[in-house]
Amino acid sequence: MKGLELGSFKFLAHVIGRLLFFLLTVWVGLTATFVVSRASPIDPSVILVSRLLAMGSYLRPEEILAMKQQILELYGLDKPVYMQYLSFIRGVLSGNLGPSFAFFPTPTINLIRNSISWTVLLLGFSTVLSWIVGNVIGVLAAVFSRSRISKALEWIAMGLYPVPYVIIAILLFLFFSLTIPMYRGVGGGGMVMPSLSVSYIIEVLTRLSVPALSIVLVSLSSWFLSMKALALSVKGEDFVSYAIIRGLGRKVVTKYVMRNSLLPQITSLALSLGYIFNGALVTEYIFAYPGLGRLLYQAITNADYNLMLGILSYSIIGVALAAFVLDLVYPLIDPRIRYGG
Amino acid sequence: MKASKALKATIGILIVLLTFAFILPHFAPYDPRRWATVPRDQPPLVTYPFGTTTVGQDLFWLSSYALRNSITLGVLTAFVSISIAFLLGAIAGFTRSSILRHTVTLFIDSFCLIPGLPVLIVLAYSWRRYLSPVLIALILSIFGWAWPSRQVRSLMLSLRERPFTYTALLSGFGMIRMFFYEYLPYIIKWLAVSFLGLLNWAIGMETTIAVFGLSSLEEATIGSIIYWAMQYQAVLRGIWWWLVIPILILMLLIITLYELSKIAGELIGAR
Repeated sequence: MKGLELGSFKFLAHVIGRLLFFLLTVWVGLTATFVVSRASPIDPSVILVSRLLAMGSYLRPEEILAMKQQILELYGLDKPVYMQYLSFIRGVLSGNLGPSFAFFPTPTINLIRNSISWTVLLLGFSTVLSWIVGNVIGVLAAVFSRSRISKALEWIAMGLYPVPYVIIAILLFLFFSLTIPMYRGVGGGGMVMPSLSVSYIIEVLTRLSVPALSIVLVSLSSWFLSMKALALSVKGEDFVSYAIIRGLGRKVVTKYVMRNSLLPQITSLALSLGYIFNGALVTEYIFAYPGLGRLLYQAITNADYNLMLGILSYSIIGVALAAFVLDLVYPLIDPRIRYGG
Repeated sequence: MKASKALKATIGILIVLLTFAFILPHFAPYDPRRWATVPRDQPPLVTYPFGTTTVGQDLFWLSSYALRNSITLGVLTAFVSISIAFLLGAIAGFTRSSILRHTVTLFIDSFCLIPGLPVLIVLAYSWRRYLSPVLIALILSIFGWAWPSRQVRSLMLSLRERPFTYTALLSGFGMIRMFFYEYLPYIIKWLAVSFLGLLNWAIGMETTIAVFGLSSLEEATIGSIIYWAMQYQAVLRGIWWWLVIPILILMLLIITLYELSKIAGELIGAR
């Protein structure tokens, strides 16, 4: 019983530690966002005024005033810096980031909400797929390290792994748009209304497939390489040699190696989420996938500074949250954390 | 034997790339960035070995300029990032104050986790009028340091647990002297390897933000060539070389640097 009590205490300590890390990451990220927006040579209110002048004629004076008021509240430009900082943090946490400049007066948060589910779908699908497949192939390649397939896979992975996401995405885009004439049309489609119909699901899957493939190709090779290296070192340990001498089958040995090399892979999955998210932004833009990446590009071309800061803030919160959830799963896989040593 | 062959091939390719980037631009017959110096849309043939662009630039000289800028930018980023990484990683791994150690470690970890690309994009956007390769390098360094810093920290921690550390300390060797005479030579070699990794990361990242239209688009970099090729719909109009050649050069450079860092890593590991 004593062990169990100690274990639950340790679990609690783990959760609290991870929660602190989550809060700290969000805080550091939002502070960085704030510093970025303050350190910029452009003044958001000037952008706002120029956008208003560009659209001018159909905006009523009270709308201009309301928008100015909102900008003043959001950025608090007349207040001291620490007050501006506090109101920025409050704005992000309450979801009140002000209107988008380009799609005025739609609130920024609504645009982000529409796109974020697409990004989560793309990211979730491709990350889970590449992580699982990469780890399984990695272990198998380590267990059967002498086979030709294992070596060939390592060569392919080593060729793919260092290449930036953006290059893989462009190459895949070229490949598909040159070989499948229909593809160009599919990629650049407008918004689709969500519904529970078969055609909608097919539409989503078509849009998802190629961007996901480009992420999977890069991250699969990275998981494969790190898993193979980890599994090879575990395979060299005494307990595995003993298992082989005892005459246990390949299946059991694979399981031993797998379970013992998975833990560092989960830690690195949690930490590389931000990196994978970057890749998702790039592929979304290249393939005109209706997620945050394309929204970010629209924000850039429309000089929509508000929307950019909004995407930035919620990306940080989203990635930190995902890592936090993953950290909570960790003790379920590593019994040492639960029962205390 | 096999390893030395790979090393020779890697260094050979690297020398060719460096010559192309740093010696060739001095012999350019005209400023390759200027428009309308050569006929438009010429396919790669004898006169224009890499072809020409729609705005009348010779891709051969243009990509040699671009490669020079991309490598310079990458080296600068890697240098700044490594300096920050070493400083913070050493503090996190070496200090005796547990509060300081934990704070710095958490700080490093959160910078690893924060998605850098949107931050870099917003930053590059707000400074876009002033963007030059140097400014881009400084912007990229804001995120470049995090992963190497994490590794410096764990390297320090593992060095501190090694038996030779205890032997030295018990023999009256000071911790500061230990740091400078024993740890530093080891860590510097290790930093050289991660320098190559960062160089790769920076060149790839510049290309990424350039594709979003946020690099120094007047100055030639590999990323900005790719950006303009995409803006002019080069491939759909059949001018594939405008996009394919910079991509091939980039991939060649990145895979070469990766191979080099792997070989260097094995050399250190063998010690």
